[in-house]
Amino acid sequence: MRRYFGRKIIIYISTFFLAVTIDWAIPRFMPGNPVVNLLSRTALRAESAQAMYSYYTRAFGLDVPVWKQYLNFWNALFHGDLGTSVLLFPQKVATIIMKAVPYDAFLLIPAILLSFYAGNKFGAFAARNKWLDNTILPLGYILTATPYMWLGILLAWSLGIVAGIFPFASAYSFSMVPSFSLAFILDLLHHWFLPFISLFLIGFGGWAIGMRNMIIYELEADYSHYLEALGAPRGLVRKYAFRNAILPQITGLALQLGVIFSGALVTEVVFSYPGIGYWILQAIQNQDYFLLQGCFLFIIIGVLVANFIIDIIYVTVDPRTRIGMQGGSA
Amino acid sequence: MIEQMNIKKSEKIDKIPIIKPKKINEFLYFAFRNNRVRVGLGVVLFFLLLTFIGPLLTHYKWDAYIGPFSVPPSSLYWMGTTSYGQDVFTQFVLGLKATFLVGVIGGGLGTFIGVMVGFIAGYRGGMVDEGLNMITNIVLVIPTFAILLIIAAYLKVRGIFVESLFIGFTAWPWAARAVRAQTFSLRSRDFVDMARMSGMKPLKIIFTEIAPNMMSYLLMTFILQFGGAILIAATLDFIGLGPTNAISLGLMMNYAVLSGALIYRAWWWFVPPGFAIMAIVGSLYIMNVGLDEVFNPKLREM
Amino acid sequence: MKKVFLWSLAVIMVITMVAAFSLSGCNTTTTTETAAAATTAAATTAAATTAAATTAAAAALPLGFSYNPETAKKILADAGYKDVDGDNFVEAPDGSKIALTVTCPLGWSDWMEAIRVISESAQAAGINLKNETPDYGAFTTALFGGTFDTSLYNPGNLANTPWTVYNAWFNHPIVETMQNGNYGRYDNKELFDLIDQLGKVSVDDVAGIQAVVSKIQKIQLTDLPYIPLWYNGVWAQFSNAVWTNWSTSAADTPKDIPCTWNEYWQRGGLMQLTELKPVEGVEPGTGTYPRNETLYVSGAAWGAYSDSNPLIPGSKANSSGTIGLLYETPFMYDPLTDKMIPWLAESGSWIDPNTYEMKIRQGIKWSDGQPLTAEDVKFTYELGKNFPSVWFSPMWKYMTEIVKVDDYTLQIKFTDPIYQEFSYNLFNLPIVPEHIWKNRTEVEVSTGINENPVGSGAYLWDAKGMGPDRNVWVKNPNWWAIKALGLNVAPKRIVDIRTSGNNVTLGMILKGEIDLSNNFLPGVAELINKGYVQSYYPKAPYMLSANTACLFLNLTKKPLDDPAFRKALAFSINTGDIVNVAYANLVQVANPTGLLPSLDKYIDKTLLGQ
Repeated sequence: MRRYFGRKIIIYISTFFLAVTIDWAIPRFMPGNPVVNLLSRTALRAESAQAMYSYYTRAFGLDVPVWKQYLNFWNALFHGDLGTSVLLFPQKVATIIMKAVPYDAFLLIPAILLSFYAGNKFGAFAARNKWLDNTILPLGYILTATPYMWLGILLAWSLGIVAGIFPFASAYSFSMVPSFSLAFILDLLHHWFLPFISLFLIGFGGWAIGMRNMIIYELEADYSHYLEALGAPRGLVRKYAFRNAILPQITGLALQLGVIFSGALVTEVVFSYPGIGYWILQAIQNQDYFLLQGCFLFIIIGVLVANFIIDIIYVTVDPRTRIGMQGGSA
Repeated sequence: MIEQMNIKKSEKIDKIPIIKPKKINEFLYFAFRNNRVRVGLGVVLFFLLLTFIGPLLTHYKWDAYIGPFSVPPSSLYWMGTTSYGQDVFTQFVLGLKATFLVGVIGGGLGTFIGVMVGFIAGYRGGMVDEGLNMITNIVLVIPTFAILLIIAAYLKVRGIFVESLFIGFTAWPWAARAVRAQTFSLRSRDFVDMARMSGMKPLKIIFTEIAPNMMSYLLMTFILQFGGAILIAATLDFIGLGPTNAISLGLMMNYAVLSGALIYRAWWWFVPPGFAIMAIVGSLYIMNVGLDEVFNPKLREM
Repeated sequence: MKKVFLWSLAVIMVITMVAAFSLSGCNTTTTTETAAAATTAAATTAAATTAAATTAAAAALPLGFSYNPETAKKILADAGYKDVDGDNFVEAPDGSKIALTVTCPLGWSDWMEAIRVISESAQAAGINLKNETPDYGAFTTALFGGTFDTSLYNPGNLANTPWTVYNAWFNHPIVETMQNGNYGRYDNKELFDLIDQLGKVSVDDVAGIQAVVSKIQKIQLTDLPYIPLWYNGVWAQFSNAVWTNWSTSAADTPKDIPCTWNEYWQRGGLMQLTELKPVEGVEPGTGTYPRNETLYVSGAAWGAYSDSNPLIPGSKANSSGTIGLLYETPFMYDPLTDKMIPWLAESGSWIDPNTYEMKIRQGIKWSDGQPLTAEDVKFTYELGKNFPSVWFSPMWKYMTEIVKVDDYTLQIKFTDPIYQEFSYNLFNLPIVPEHIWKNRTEVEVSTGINENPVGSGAYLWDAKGMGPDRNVWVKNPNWWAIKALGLNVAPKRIVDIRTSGNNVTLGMILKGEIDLSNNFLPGVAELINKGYVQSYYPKAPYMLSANTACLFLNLTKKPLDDPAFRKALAFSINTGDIVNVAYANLVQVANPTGLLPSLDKYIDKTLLGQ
């Protein structure tokens, strides 16, 4: 157990280190200078711009040699300071991200978890029921194959504009102020529904298909035949098959959850929903190194944490892994 | 200990059918009898045909102002016109071409890289495996989307080819993981041991012993990468990071949305491109399921 | 096998590192260090060639231009440009190939369509011009840095004098990074002297301005260093469902500019709010803000909140209203009548050529109850003297001191003043409270967030209502103009909405969720004609003109340094298609001088009649 986790932790830490270094490096290799960019946006006259130039360069820590910037970066990281944004100067990157994340989480976590649950359940059903297999499954494939933005916009247009039963812009009504009242929570959910359902539909298909295939293989495995030969009820066989089949799905879930941290850019564009994805796009288009860096960092940490948690779950759930770690063979 | 890998769509853990050359005919026989393969292939071929024949049927340029604004489909403009008076049919068939190109090049590149990485990692194991695994994880961890956005910022002008390259270079991890798992299980087979004992070079073993036995799997991986590349390209085009001076199905949707096509009831500019992508990629996936059944006879009884 | 793998990995890493470092644009010492003093060598060569070429070939060409591909081809042929290799594009007289690009920022869909028309029509006349759309950051880097070929841009704004826009188009001196204009680095001493001379003419001396402007225009039309193409509109479409009595061109309606963009509040936007009337019978609805008291606008803020500091120029677009609704200026300007309206100042006049006397209105209170006096105005202006990083500090090159005559009178003393700049700033320089700002450092003044802002204006900043995609302003019940001028703003609240795109905005308009939209909405003419929304003009061009979209040509690059080539390019551009198709008639073709219709009296028509 210790060796397993020990190795895992070393791998994670080195992956983290490498990924963060790349994260720090990439925005800096983009063409353009963020200070010049910031100054040009302010349309200052040359004399005023010059006075500000050195201030900004110092403020962003760009006046020290590159290797020192790298070390400062790690230092700031451990203090939770992700720098100051260029785009929204003088707001801090961490503030911007923290304000955006709840919306993403609120939208994506239910969407991913629910589509995981529903998709796998349906996939399992479809594996044993020929009728379902020939109707739900093709539907699942079509859903996975649908370009997300197309589905999203059609939903927004049909349910939001034509039928008018759902709002299609923003996280909560423009006439509301956030509070813990019932009215606000209902309003929040009302706005949440369309983005959620679009994400759910697309995700559902993928899980259903995956599960269906896994179950079929498991049902064809030797142990299934053995159990059947012993006269075990179909339900029992299916239960074991399901357990084996769910394992690879969990890895996929980990990756999906990790991706939450990068936000759902297209959802945010289609439904004008606030979130990190939008900030990433803005940061790149406006050459905001620090915001970009901060967002990426956030994503990297999130993904690695999610992966690590899933690895732990794997160990607890899959006895073969546990035994394998202890040196035995599965 | 064997780590469970996952790709969302389909995966085989244990029993890979070993296809010997003379069984190719048997494979083709079953393939073309399988409903799913028929339907899937049929739809894809239909669109492919449209890609070749379509441009011959129209003499307009896709971005030229050739007619009145926002006209619905008619005998004169088969798929109507855009809000700038451009011909939607021309845009559609040229867009199909771009879409297929991206699928082939992007999907092909992704498959190639993924397969190479997967083979090497799966066969060698040990430190090489750990190293490649780490690279795979990194490419998975760093949001590929965001990397694509960054690289796009470098290039002022982007073409279909460049976009395909991006996609290929970032979509391979899924293929790599799957191929690695297969290679793992294959490498402990007898015939591979025999080859190794006879002193064959590892690279040769991979290409002459292991790969032929995974042909079916590789084909399906390619199909998945192809479909995936098309979807990623559509998303990139939609946010405005697609080719700057070309047309593709995703770009059609982008332009349509920027002009508020649906709001102005010009559905013919927005709906067909998305529908075509859905049809092509969906058919690819269904074809994949069918091929799965063909390769794995046990599934055929379903 | 292992060797191969490790070697290829190493090679890839090396290549990546080399590529990364060579592509690296991240310099800690950059060009702006030399901003004040440097003149590039390229600029001097261009100046030499430009000056020489001006006298010789330019005299023969017609002044002004319009879309005429035949004329374009003739000019090219006469100047020695021929297609020698049969690719349908002309080569330079010395035989070198021509390959130019025209750029605009990615995502500005109307401009993207426009540069497509430009490149196509130029190509039809034989000029190899291809359109490209880099990201906004890369676009401005190339534009300000002088590495572009030709780019579309629109510096300048509605003003009471043509000096501001000429100062932008012919910004001088030429330095390495031109961020205030003259991106093409056009170097002409005679012209620069004329513009400096123009700045020193009194704003009220129309004949004097006309005389100088006529000379400027002659040079501009002869040399054509940039090509004015069309007037971007003050995009404004509004709904009469909840608020009515909007400004339109019709007879019995108000005549203020219904625009919420930064800098437009003091050009009529605020006045529009005082003219609005609520529609009878509108339900308050279930939101926190009652519908019948709230004005929903969009198209002003295009980013999230960054600060409430009125002295940070440029970022105010993110909280448009900071100047105008919250902080106010001594005067307002009405472009439609070309009148300055006394605002915080009760009056202002030149008592002698070097002294400006401003009388501050009495009875104005800051939102924290303190009175607004001449001390605040003096303090604000002097911020420019004490802190060189404040945007209006260059004014102190000709301002010498401000004398406080009494609590409500100031005398500002000058030597050799640039009247036009000072006059322009009278309605652009916001007055901040001295009692709150007096202890702030330069850094705080120039870059601080200025939380809990205290202003004198009609609205207060509602920090509670601010969200990721909205800014909220709430009516200031103690606004001075209620008593002093009998003005009352109608909406109790303004909610400024930021949407992710046109699609969403259009949808919200259709559902009646936006009262005033200042977004550019393609195809909105259809909604106007169907009666969903209204615009200032009931028919084309529907919108008032805001600024001129010009094609800037980089005169440091061949063959753009040849005025004949530039002229030919101007004749080859199909502005008709841009206006009629790309913009679906929401704009108008620009006058070749580029001046807006509101400054029509300064356009020398005799020049264009030639």
